[in-house]
Amino acid sequence: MRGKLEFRSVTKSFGTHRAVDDVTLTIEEGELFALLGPSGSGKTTLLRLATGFETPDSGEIVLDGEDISRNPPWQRPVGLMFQQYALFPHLDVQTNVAYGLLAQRFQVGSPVQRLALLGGLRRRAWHDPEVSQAVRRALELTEIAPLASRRPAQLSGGQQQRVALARALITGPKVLLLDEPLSALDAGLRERLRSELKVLQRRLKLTVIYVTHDQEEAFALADRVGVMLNGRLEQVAPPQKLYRRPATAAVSAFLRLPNRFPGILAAADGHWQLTMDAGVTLLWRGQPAGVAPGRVLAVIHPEDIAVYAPTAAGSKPGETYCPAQVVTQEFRGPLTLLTLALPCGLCYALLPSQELPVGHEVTLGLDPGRFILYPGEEGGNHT
Amino acid sequence: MAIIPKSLQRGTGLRTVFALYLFLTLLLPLLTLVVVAFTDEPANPVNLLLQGRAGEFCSLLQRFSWEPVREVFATTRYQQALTASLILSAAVAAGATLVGTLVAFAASLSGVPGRHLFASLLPIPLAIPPFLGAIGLKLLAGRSGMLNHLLSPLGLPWPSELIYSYGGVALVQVASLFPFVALNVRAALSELDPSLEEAGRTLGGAPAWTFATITLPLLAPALGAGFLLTFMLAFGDFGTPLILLPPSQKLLILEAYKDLTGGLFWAEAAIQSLIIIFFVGAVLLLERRLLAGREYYSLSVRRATVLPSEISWFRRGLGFTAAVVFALPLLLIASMFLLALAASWGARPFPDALTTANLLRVTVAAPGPLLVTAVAAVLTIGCSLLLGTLAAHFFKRLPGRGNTLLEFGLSFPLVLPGIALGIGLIAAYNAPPLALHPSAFLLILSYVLTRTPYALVAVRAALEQIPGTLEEASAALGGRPIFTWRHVLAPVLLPALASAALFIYFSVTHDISLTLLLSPPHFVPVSISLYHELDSGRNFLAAAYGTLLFIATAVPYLIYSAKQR
Ligand SMILES: Nc1ncnc2c1ncn2[C@@H]1O[C@H](COP(=O)(O)OP(=O)(O)O)[C@@H](O)[C@H]1O
Ligand SMILES: [Mg+2]
Repeated sequence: MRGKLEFRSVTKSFGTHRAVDDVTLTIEEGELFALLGPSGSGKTTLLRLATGFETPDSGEIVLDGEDISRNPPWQRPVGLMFQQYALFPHLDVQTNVAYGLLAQRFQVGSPVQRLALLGGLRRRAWHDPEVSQAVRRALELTEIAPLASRRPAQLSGGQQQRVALARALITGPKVLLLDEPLSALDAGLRERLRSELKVLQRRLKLTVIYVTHDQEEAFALADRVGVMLNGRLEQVAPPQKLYRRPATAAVSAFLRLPNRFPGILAAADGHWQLTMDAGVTLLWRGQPAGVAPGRVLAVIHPEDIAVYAPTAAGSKPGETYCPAQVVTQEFRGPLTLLTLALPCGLCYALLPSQELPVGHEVTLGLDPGRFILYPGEEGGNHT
Repeated sequence: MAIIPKSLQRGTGLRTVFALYLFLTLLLPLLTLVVVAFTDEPANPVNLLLQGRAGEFCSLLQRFSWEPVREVFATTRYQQALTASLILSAAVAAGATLVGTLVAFAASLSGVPGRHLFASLLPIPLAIPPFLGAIGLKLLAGRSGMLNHLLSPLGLPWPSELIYSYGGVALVQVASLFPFVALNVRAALSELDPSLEEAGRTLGGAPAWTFATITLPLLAPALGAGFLLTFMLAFGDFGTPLILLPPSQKLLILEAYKDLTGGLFWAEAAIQSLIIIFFVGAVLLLERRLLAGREYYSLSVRRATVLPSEISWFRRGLGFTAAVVFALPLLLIASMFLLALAASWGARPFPDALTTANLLRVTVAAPGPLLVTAVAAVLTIGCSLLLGTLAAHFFKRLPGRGNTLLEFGLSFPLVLPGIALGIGLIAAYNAPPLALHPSAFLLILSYVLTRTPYALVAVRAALEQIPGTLEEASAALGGRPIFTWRHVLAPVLLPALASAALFIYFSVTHDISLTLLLSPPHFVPVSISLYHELDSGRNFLAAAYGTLLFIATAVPYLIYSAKQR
C-alpha cells in the first residue's frame, strides 16, 4: 500500500501564534494534492509536521493507518523537497542522490557496516552496484544522468531541482512533499518542469503534496487543492470547483476575484433584493444560498459579466443592466480585461479581445444567478 | 529542534556539567580572590567548608572589610601601576588599531606594491607572541644584545636602555598585536559591498570622500572591536613587561605577580588581580554591547575583495608602511635565529663561529621541555575542542534560560589575564583537601579554560554557515543524528576545528603567565625554559629556545595555510 496521509485535528502553535490551526485533511493514494496559501499561512509548518521536524501540539498524523506523529524524521517514509533544494554542497550529484539509500543502510546495518558508512559516502555511491544502479535509475527518471559527477554549485536552478527530486525519490517514500519546488525558477522553466512533474507523478503513482502560493500552478497540477489561510484549511476542492465556488469571502479574496460588491440584502414583496454600495440593484426570486438579510458581500467572476453596446442591450430574463464607462483595457492575448466605472465604484470584466476605447460607454449585463454571496462585509483581504 | 534525541532535548544534564565546570575553574578562583582580598588572609573558603569547619568560615566572613582595598588604592606604588597600565594599554590599542588598519588596507587594496606578500605575512606575527617579541628585542637591542656588542666598540653608543621602558613594552605589544586588528579589518573589508563605494562615486563622490563617508563608517565596528580586543590583550600581557620593564616602572600585572611570588602579599596580589579582571571584564561587556550579534573574534584568514583605490601616493604609502611594520618582527626573528646558531659572538656583525650545538641542546640533548610542551598542547587541544564543540552545538540547538550566562562564562576566559586567573587558582587550590597546586593537571585545566573560547567561536561560526535545511534534508532522507553529523556537519566543522586547534596550539606553546605561576618543577615547558635561560644570561640558549618556539609554530601554520589553498 502506498501513501494515504491523514491529518486529524492537527494544531501547532509557536508562542501564542497558531501556525497550523485544527487541520483535518486526508490525502488519497496516488493523489496530487496542492496546498495553496499566501506566505505565512502555515503551509510549510504543515509539511514540517508531516516530516517530523515539528511535533503537533495536538492531533495525529496517520500514514497508511499508522500514527507517525511522534516518529523522528529519519523514521518516516516521507520524502521532502526543500524550497531552496538543500543539496549537500560538498557532495557530488551521484552522492547527493545516493544519500538516502546509504542513510537507510546505516539504520539497518551491522555495527561494522555502520562504522564503514561513517567513513565516507562517495566511493559507495559510485561503486556499490546496487546503490549506483538505483542512482542511475533516479537520474534517468529526472533526465540528469550526465550530471552525476558535478557539484551542486556547478548546476543551474532547474538542474538542482531535478537533483533534489531524484534524491527525494530514491528511497521510495510513500508520500512526497514538495515545498514551493519551482518558486526559485523563471517562468518558462517553471511551466515545463511543472508538466514533467505531473507526468512523473502519474507514472509512478506517487502521493504528492505540492505546496505553492501560486494559484495558477495549483490549478494546473492538482487533483484537489486545499486553501490555507492563517493556519486554517479554509476549503478543499478540485480546482474547477474551488475557482467557481470559493467557500468563503476570504478564499475568494485570496483567489483575487476582483469584483467585490458590499451591499444590503433584504426581502421585498416576494423578491430578495441586493442594493450594492456601488449603486446597482440585483433581484432574486428565492433566498440566495448561504446568506441572511443584512450586510453581505457579492462576488462575481470577471468572465461572468456581459458587456453590451449601450444601445444593443440584451434582454435575458433576470439580467440586470447598468451603464458603465471603460476606464482601462488590458490586453491578455485571446482575452481582454476591462476596468469599468459604475455609478459609484469599479468593476472588471473579461471578454474575448475586441477594441473598446477608453471612455467608451457600455451597458453591463449582470446575472444575479452568477453572483456568489457571502455574509458580512469584505471578509479577509488576501490580495 | 526535533533532530536532537529526546534525551538531550532539554539539555539539563549538559547544562549542569558546564555549570559545574565553570564553577570549579572560574567562579571558585574568583570567589577565593574576593575572600582573600577583603579579609587580608590567604584563607581558602572552600577548603574550610569541605572540611566542615563552618565556624572558621563564618568568622572569616565576619572579617570582611574594605580596609585592605582602601589601603591598596592609597598606596602610591599601586596607583602608579594602575594608571600606567591603563594608559599604556590604551596607547598600545590605539597604535595596534592604526597599524593594523593600515596593514589591512595594504593587504587588500589593489595596486599596493607587495599586497600579496603582506596578505600572506599577515598572520605571522601571531606566531610571535609579545613575550617572544620582547625576548627578540632584548637579544637584539638590549644591554647585552647584538647591537650593543656591535656598536659600542666602534664608539657609537647604542641607547640600549631605551628598550627597558614603557616605550619598549609598547613597541613590542603593538608589533605583535596588530594582526588581531588587521585580520578583522581585512575580513570586514572583504565583506564590504564594492557597489556601495561605486554608488558613492556615481553620486559624485571623490575617492577620498567616499572612503571617509562610506568605507570608514562601515569599518567602524571592526575598528572598535579591534581596539577593545587589543586593549584587553595588552592589559593582560605579562611576558613583555616581565622581560623589559625595570623595577622603577610599574604595571599592575607585574606588581600582582611580584606581590605573590616575592613577598606572599596575598591580599595585595588578589586585589590587583580583581582590578585587572574588573577592567578586562568591563571592556569585554562594552565590546559585546557595541557589537551585539556581530562576530569579530574571527581569526580565520579570509580572501579580501579588491577595493578600487585611485590615489597612487596613498597606495605607495600603504605599501611602505606595511613593509616597515613587517620588518620589525622579521628582524627580531632573524637576529634570534642567528644568535641561536652562534657559538660565540664578538663585536662583529656576524657570529665568530656557527654551531648547531645550541639547537641540538634544546631538542635532542635535553628534550624534556619540548616533550612537556607537546603533551600540554595535545591535551589542551583535545579537551578544548571537545568542550567548545559541545558548547557550540548546545547553544545553537537548545536555546534556553541561562545560556547567555554560561556562554559568557565559557568565552570570557579568552581575555582573562593569566596572572589574575593563576593567582585565583593558586589561592583556591593550594591547600588540602583540594591541594591541586602545583600540578600538571591544574596547569592544563587552566589552559583548557582559557583556550576553549577559540574552539567555541570557531565552531559557532562554522555552524552558522550550515543552513538548518541541510540537516533537515539529511534527516528526511533517513539520516540518523550521528550519520547527519558525520556527513553534513563534519565536512564544514573539521576545517574550523583545525584552525581552532592551530590557534590553541600557538597560544599554549607561547603561554608564559599561567605557566610561570602554575607549572610544577617536573613539568617545565619550553616557554619557561626560555625565560630561565634568559634570566640567567645564557642568551644563546635562550635564542635557541626562542627559535624552537618560532619554528614549532610557524611550520604548522605554513602547512595549514598551504592546505587551505
Ligand atoms: N519555528 C518557528 N518559530 C516561530 N514561528 C514560526 C516558526 N515556523 C513558522 N513560524 C510562523 O508560523 C507562521 C506560518 O509559517 P509557515 O508555515 O512557514 O508559512 P508558509 O510556509 O505558508 O509561508 C508564520 O507566521 C511564521 O512566522
Ligand atoms: Mg513556506
